[in-house]
Amino acid sequence: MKALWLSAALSLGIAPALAQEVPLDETLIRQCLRGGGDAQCIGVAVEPCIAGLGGYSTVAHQACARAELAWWDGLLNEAYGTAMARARDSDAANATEIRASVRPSDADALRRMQRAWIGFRDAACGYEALQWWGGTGASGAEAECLMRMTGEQALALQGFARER
Amino acid sequence: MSIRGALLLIALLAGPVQAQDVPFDPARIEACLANSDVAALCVGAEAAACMQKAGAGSTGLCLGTENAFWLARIDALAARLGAGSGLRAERAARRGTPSPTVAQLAEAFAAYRQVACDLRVAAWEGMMTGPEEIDCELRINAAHALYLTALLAP
Repeated sequence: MKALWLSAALSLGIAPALAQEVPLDETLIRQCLRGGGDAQCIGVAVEPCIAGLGGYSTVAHQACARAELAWWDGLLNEAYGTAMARARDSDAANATEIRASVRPSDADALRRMQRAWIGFRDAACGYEALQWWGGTGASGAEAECLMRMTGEQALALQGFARER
Repeated sequence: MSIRGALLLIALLAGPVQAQDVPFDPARIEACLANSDVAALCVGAEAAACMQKAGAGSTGLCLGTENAFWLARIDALAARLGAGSGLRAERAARRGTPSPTVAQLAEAFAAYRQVACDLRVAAWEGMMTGPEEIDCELRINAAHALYLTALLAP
């Protein structure tokens, strides 16, 4: 199924005049993940999406990277919710040790990690945006960075939830 | 536990394997990075080979040695990025928006690494905490080194 990412494109700041329906084929990402591709699945739908918009352009690159970013962001939110539920279960099972300060709270540690990750993501992608600014690699660099880091974090959170 | 504390603990627990005896060859990581399409596959492999060769008591030293390899790589790459700070400042002025400095990127990374590894070791107790934390730091440091390498790619 091809998702239409018009609303996502608008909310993420793609210029309205250029925010045509972005043909992101999310099944490519799902299939890749089912095949065990993990982090290598991040960005897998971008090139076909660009082709679907008639070929490479700065606007198409940004729109497709941001559309896939929106997909990974959805997965990240879902994964964070699952991870937090597992962390709370773990805290409940270890409540005595946590109250006695023998063991840290998983939920607090998870919250701190996610907050620090947001700071790191913003710093890294802000840095990267200027690194390529003005050059041939500039288009979509920040969106690609956000997509990659969000995807990696979503997969890391899924891993955390599986292990707890 | 800080990385220094963990390294100390590991050194104390290392038993018969001494730092100078660690069968760790950084050239094999370099060769892997030069020849592999997926650089992430080069992370942790040398530490694993080191542990296999050195046997019991080597876990912390092998992980710590590979972690030191990636930390040194981050430092070298950050220095190279820092050398381009003049050009970045010029770009930021032309672009009209501020951008994080290398130091701010490093600070945000260090803060993230600390709490990410705190989370990973939260479920571990006692003697396993140290090696688990070093393994966590190794993997996060390696990922960051690979990221910085890509940033410097032509």
